[in-house]
Amino acid sequence: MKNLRSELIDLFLDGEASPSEAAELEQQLASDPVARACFEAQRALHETLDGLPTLDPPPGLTEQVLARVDSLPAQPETPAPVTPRGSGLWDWLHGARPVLAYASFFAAGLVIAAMIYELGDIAEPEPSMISGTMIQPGPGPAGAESRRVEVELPGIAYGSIVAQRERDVLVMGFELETAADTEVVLPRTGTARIVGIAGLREEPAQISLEAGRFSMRQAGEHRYTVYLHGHFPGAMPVQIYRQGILVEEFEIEIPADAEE
Amino acid sequence: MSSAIPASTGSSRSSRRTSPPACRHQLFYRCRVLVNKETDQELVERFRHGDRMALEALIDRYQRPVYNAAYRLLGNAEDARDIAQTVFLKVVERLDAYDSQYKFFSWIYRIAVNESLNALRTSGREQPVTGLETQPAASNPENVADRTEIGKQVQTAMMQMTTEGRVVLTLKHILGLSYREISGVVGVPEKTVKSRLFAARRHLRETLESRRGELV
Repeated sequence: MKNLRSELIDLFLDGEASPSEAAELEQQLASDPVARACFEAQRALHETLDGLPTLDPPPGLTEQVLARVDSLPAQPETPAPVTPRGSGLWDWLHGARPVLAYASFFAAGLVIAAMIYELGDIAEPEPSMISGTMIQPGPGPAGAESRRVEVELPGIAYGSIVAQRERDVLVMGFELETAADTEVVLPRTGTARIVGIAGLREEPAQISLEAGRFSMRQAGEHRYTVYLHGHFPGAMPVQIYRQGILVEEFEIEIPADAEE
Repeated sequence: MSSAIPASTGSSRSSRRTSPPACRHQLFYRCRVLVNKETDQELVERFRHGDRMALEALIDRYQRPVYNAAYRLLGNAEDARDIAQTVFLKVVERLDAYDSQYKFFSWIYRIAVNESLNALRTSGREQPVTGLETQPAASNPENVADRTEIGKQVQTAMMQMTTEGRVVLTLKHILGLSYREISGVVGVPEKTVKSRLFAARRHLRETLESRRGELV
């Protein structure tokens, strides 16, 4: 009898009791103080077990696994669902039929669009680990306008932020050197949603994407690109926080689509 | 070419900069997908087609539960790290055998459980340890999860129960699985899951009571 009651309590506390079992237990608890004491004891144990803290995985676990995967014998691979044509993803995105290209791009579930926002004497990028995701240095899209904001916040942040758009994709390029505990934020705007981030170094800063809000907590030099997709307002707000305090807020005008 | 529209709340401390930043040598390092709302199945399919970032996303998604499950089963953070690595390697090696009509988490947790049990067998630690043999889990400085007294006692008590009991407790309370899901991972009927959980908790309760002399 005692075991049966304890089993019923466990079932109930596990959320696995049927309505009739729950009713039976409630009846017992209402009439039997011993049952109530058992219930409290078992509930305490459940709460203890559910409340056991979890360990953070050891730092670098992902990288260690990937390194070991790299050392595995090569396996034949089927082509990736989306493979850029021509000399690179950039060419593919700006081919003869960009609308079709974009549609295929997103339909295939690839989250990173690729654009380049900077010209200059750029070293050849390291080989990509994934076919189709590393962009090649090259010019921006023909006719596509960009907007650049130079940032100079003494002791906090230096650098530039560039916005460039083609149809439904907005590319925000960040090239910033910041002091410790600086946070760069793109608040959620309109229907635009962030679909990818590229260009991070091996040790990226802390990034969060809560409710469509992009936050990059960084220190030192960082170059990365954020890709947004959707319908955009006329300008994209950018906020810079230092130690949790908003120190700068401005908007970058979103250029008109070159094809509009 | 450039345009900044000050927001109404903005300060005036920002100004244009004439010289380019110094960090202009490498535009893109490796790309990382950091926005990931894709389902496990979508990531698996992408990885099957050679997309390494999908594997990275799966590892990021599952490293914490896999590592913590291994830790609770093995009682040692260093062993848990090795098991977590092994689990993801097995995922890569065996992905062709994975049937996507089943839940991916069920599959990867089964691998994690099996690898942990194999490690226990290999090291001769499959049998429950006695009280005297038990090394407090928190003796390892990495075991920050068990710095609390109750955490230490529970982990020690778990190491003193059968591996069957430890497995179901871990799947239930660390990974938060239902009876049905545990049944899928362990490969036993739900009724068996229920009875193993009941027995494990009773053992745990008795062990804790005997150690602390109080009702938990």
